[in-house]
Amino acid sequence: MQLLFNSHPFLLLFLPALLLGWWVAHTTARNWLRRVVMSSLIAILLAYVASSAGRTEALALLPLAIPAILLGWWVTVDRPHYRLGYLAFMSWIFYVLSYHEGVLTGLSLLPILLMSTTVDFWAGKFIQREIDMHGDNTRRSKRMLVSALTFNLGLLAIFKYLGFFAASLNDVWGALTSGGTQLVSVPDIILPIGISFYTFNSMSYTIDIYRQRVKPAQGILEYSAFVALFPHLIAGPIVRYSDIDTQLRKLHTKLSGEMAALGLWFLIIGLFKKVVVANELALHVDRLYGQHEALAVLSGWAAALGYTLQLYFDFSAYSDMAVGLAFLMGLRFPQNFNSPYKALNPSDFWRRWHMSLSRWLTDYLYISLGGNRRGKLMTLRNLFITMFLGGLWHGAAWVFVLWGMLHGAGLVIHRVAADAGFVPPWRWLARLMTFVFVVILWVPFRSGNIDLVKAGVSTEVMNDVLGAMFGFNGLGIGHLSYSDATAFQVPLMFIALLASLLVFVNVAPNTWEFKLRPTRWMALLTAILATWSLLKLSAPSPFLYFQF
Amino acid sequence: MDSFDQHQIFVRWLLAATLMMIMVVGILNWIVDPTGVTGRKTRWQIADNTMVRSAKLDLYERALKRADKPDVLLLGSSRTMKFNPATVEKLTGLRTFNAAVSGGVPQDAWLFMQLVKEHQKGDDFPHLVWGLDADAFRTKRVRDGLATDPRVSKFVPWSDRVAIKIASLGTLTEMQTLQATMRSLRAGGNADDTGKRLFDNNGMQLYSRRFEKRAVLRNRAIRRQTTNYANFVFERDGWDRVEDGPLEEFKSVIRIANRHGDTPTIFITPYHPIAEAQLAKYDLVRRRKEVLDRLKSLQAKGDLSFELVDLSDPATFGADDAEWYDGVHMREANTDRALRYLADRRLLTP
Repeated sequence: MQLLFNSHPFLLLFLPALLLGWWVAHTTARNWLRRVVMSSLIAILLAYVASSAGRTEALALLPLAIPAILLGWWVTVDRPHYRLGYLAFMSWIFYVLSYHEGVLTGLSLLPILLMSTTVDFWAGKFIQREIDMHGDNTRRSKRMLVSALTFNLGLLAIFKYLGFFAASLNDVWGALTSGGTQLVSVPDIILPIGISFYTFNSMSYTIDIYRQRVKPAQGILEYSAFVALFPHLIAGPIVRYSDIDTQLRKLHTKLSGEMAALGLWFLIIGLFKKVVVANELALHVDRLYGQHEALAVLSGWAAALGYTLQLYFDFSAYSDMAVGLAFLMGLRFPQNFNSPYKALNPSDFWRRWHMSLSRWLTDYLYISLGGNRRGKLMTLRNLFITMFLGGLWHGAAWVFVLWGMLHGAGLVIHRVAADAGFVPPWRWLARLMTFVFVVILWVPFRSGNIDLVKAGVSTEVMNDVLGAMFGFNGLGIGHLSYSDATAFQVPLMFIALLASLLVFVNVAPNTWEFKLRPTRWMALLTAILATWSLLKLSAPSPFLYFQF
Repeated sequence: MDSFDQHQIFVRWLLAATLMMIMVVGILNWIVDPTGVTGRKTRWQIADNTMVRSAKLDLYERALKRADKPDVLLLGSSRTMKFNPATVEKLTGLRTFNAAVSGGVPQDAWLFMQLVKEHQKGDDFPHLVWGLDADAFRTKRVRDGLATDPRVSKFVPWSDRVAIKIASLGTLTEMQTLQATMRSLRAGGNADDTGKRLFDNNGMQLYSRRFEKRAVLRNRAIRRQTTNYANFVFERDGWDRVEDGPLEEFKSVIRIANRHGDTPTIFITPYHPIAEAQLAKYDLVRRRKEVLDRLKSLQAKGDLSFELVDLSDPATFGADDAEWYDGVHMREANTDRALRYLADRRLLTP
């Protein structure tokens, strides 16, 4: 059983217990009733942890767990910075429970997160001390920065890319020798959830200290809480320390009405987008991709458009929920989506899609490579390299590399064309061209699905779908065998859904643009969305960006 | 009224309205109870697992009252529910009862054994023929099998019973239950299989017209159902390895049978070739091999005695690809073939 944002245990047990602990902690020092209630709730949570590991008899330990937590509470509650410790601890529990392989797998991979946290905390401290002592960076501080970055990139290389590199090496070796023997054995390593996100968070921390843009965290608890902060831990947005450092140092002691309203609003909109919209789209998209060899022009485009919308509603849902959860804890996260399908060109698209990643890549990779400071040709090279590595960040598969390179090529072509004065004469044409470009490139991205990669059919699926879209498999709807409901074989419901969502993403304001008016009618409307989502929660499906 | 107050009112209205709407749905579902989770057996109840389980226990108790108690007991899940006891009787001459239940896991078999060992001691103890699904050893966090029936739930630890009760009542706030409620209310009660007989006296499943119709749409049904199956077993339950809990329950069943002098026959149930291919991406072959290896190692240790037959490849017993309801459930023509295969190897008799 996975603990996901869109699951009953998270929404009905973990979140209330966590929020109660978070907001009531500093006020319960002298209130025994509250302490007992709090301790009971946290004990129930821990019992859930055990029961999700298949030990349902752990429920019987509840009477023992409650006084134990009460004791811990009594010891720590009067120290305000322990709120951050509590937050880090609960986030680690969330992390461990996020593994669908089970709690033991989560526990075995938690030390990687803890190691990354510890290394970067001390590296940051060391670099700052050098700066304080010498007034600027020294060779020692640079060495420390390089070591910390190497450590984080090493974690990524081992846990995310080693198997991919080994398999690729074997493929090349096999092609050269025309033999079936393996040059190296391919390790079977479980990908630690969120490793791409928390290593990037950590790297930005040490780089920012080195660049003297931010001061180090005041203590290991504060830094642990920043890295592990559960709303962004496993699927972003990539929150930089500079985004929330002052917030963590000056924690709100009371949840304001506005924060609560915004938090619930973002949380419910995100939940609705995921559970009602993205999951419904996924049903149709999976069926179409499942018959990739039978697709033709219409069904091919239906599959590609369906996935384009599914990915947006899925990933932006996660970001909305993360923002909402942060609000509920009195924290503000940066915006991660800004109606990306309204983009006018590839460059604009990347300013609107997964904005925290785009900003990260710009600040720490593109600018480090020289940005646009070394002439036109170098600018184009830097754009391409940034997107190439951005593609690889998304997954250990060649289709992701291809996807990144094509986006890089798109950015290069756009830059060259714009410099030469070639821009579409109408806004609608610019939008359409950008949208079609993005839709086509989501095909290799979808083919990087972890199951398809494991089965070794990514390229085949990508070729089939792209071939179908460009008419190489006939002009009709192909030979789909999954529906007898309509003469057009692709169900009308799906077509209607696609059409309405396409209009929606092109016309409607996004969650950030929508000005929440806290009226009773709006509360009722939001309650309907909440109820609808909660009733549909029974089969939670993981968010697409978990695999990255 | 300032903005601060307005936001607070918004939050209160939002939470109260959501709670109210969920409660209305829950109460409506509780009154109608289309899936029988409250145990009240309303006139709107649609046939479901709980009815299947209660019906099996009813029939077994009835069978015990007859002069000839069952000599052979078929255990397993819905896949074994399609094995006809009459065929076993024809092949062996032994009175047979099909005790398989929907979604049956080792815990269900273990619970059934608690009744069997009470009522059929010594020489009366039946020969067990267990259609074991390769996915039976995954841990379902809440196992709502036979444990929902009060006649056997007393054997379940209280913590499990609480978890099961919470999970059952939790389904009252699900969209699927609401849809079933609306369907049942529109039909004015007695919808679907309610009131119809689900099994014959020997526990053999009787099929509704709707169920038979699915066979006509076979290939489509196979793909669809296999997708659902994969979501259920791999995504929801996260079947990845042989879990200790269900394996212990399996061993307990074998131990009970051995103590009564029986050597049970365990056969691994097959998948349709289309489903087998569709599930390849979930590493089905490796997972099933792990199950077989664990069972073989139990056999090799020697403290448990059972016969193990791998019927996971339908070609083993000459199954016809056309005689399936979906990716995992065989029609009677194929289950008869499987039974004949077992009978030829004298595995249906003690």
